[in-house]
Amino acid sequence: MNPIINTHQIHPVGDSAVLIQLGDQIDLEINSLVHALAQVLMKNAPQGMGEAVPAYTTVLLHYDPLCLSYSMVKSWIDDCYLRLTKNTNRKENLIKIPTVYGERFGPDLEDVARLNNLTVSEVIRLHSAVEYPVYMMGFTPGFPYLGGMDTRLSTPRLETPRKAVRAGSVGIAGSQTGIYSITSPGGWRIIGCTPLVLFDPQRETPFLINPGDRLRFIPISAQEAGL
Amino acid sequence: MTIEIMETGPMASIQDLGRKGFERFGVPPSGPMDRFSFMAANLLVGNPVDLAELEISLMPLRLCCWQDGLAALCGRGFELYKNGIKQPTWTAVSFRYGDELFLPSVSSGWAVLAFSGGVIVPEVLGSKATYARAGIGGINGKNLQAGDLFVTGTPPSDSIFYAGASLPDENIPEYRDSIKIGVVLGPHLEFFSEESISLFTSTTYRVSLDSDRMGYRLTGETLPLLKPADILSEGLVMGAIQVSSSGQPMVMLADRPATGGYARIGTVISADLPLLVQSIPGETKIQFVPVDVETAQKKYKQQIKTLLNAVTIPTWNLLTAFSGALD
Repeated sequence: MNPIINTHQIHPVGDSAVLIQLGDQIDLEINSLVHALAQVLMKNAPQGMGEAVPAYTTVLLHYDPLCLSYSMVKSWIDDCYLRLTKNTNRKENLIKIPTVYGERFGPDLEDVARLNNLTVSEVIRLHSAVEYPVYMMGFTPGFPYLGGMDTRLSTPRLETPRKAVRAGSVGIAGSQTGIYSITSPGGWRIIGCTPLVLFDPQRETPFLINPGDRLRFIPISAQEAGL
Repeated sequence: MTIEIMETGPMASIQDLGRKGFERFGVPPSGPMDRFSFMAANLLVGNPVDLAELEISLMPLRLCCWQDGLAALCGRGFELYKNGIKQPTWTAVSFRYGDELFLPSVSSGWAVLAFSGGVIVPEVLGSKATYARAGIGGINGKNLQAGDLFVTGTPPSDSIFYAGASLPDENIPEYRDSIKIGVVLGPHLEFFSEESISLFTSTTYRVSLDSDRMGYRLTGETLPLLKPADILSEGLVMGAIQVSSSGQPMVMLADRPATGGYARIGTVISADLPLLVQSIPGETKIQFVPVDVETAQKKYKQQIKTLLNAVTIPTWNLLTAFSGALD
């Protein structure tokens, strides 16, 4: 018997979704289980079962109440949970994010350094030294919620958010780092910019990043980026 | 063979039943605010329930039809005029090449206009629904603008019989000043005291004026929280009632973000969402009533089943078809 089987809770969310809760804090192991469960839930799903949306510690599962009852959905989840025991390893998909740090590409880089008593090059080194797990996606299409930023880089959001932050901007907000996937208003401190396009609905693969991936920022020059 | 937009407001957009299967990438489903009216309008012009339509709110819409066809206006807040002559709503109205349709706004609310064959625009991520915030769907990712042109699809072969088709009065929603809206409580009840939950279900709320396709803020009793309202972000459904740390509830609607980070006290049931969406800001009194999941699903199934069988085709159309067959 796998001990994880006792830890999932199912809550109804209205009449056409359920929330499966696997924990209550940010934790890589719990999150890996979340992504594994979301995949199993969508594989060979009965008719009427909708999308499974993985988040930090939960999976939201949509279903069509015209086809399925709440109890049918619950037993499908329990079935899937049993099938989970073998393959809960995180998919090791590493995505490299070439990033131009500073200057007009990262107007807040110097502030982030100053507020944390670091030099600009230390900020770049710390930010590009680790692999960041993509815990979930949301906020805007293609936006990855990343974990694992070095706490020495933590910086509060801008007091006055910008009216428009360009897609591809790499920023820091509190203890999080992220990449703007579309141009939108925002208060994150922008330290750099990637020429990669995170969301392009016309591309064969519209999303550069998948929930569950890992990211690494690679410092490059503006010239290398073709910017 | 096109429809041309002559005049429109900023809140008019092309919608279908929504973009499914991309919420895990952060893409909201969008789709109509009032799904009941949306499905009814399609059924009235002889379409399947999910073809794309125009959704409008608050500002008049004027269009020119450079083709023949059928249109049906459903929902709240608009009237329909063809070449200056008032037409019935919740009814399939036929139009000819060169006709002008004018839809003045008479109150707040959301209305949809369906065309036989449906509105045709390129699909983005499997849907025609406009999500202007991310610039996808509709015409070039934008809400409707004066000067826009679009074509309609090939109408179903029996579409001609639907001219004059209507919904019987008893199937048309009644928009009252005071409404009861079912909610399934949860999933974050641990954030709320019993007093807080009872305030939510025993007092009345109104929709605030700064409400849009993303969501409706509710004014009324604030709901005290036992701890800060921030939760780890997680998936969000249409009708989810989030409560911010200030205790103000907000119902998340068609253009909600795919994920949310506030505690949720409940979710509006599918059968009652169309009624809630059609509340008049600052006026309609809303009373939330706890319902269990099974009851909610039963009510929704009944509502859809009734709607699917409600469209009444004028007997005359069928007689004409019959006599035509005798010739």
